[in-house]
Amino acid sequence: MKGFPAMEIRAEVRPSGVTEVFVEGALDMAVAPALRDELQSLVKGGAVNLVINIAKVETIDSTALGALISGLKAARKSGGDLRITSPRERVSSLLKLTNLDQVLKIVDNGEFP
Amino acid sequence: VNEPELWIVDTISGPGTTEELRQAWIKIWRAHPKVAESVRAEIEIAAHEIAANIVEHAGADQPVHMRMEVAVLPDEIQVRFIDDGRELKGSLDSVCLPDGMAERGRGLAVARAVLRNLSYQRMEDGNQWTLLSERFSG
Repeated sequence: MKGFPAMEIRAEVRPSGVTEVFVEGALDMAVAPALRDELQSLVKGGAVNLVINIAKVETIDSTALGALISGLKAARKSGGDLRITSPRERVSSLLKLTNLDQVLKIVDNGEFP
Repeated sequence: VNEPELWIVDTISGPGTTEELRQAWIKIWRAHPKVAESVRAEIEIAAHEIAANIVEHAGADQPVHMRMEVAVLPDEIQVRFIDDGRELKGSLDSVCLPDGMAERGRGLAVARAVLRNLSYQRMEDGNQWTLLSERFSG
């Protein structure tokens, strides 16, 4: 796990070639730049299909949502996509409230691509 | 008449601000276990977005003096933020959610959406935000 203030992140490549990114902690403005950089760096390194596993994310704010959008745009630009899996209630409520559940699609684990 | 208990975080904004506020909310909920999770989530999300706005815009990423006051009343939660930063640009009334692919600009729209009322006032030497949660039966 790579350490950031109040956030942990690690990536695992599945046999299908999809990269699952496990994120833990509170995703907010303190860690959003690091999350953005990490996703950009993964895409740059060829991991263009990403599933962000946020089962252990307690809270998320609009700046962290922006970082996920940034990752989504980078993945799509490289011919891939980015999906979310296992959000907790607070996180899925915020995705719905911001209509971002239409953009950051939630998939069951293993459903993507 | 008993004055409601006031929870206060008085701080200088910086990288640890959001974590400091999160710790304060943990203490507040510990003292008020009957407040429903949905109410907690909404007021915390809104307060967090306002704090982020203060850090980013009022302070323009420079430290500002920020004070959060929380009063948990029998049927609502009131939060007041006071800071000595720059004035809010634009009107709170015109705040709306941006395009789905936008990477910024959702904070105030989120706060407004989850609150019963959000108001902003420019003071002589700073800003004041007042947040009212949805009403609930305690």
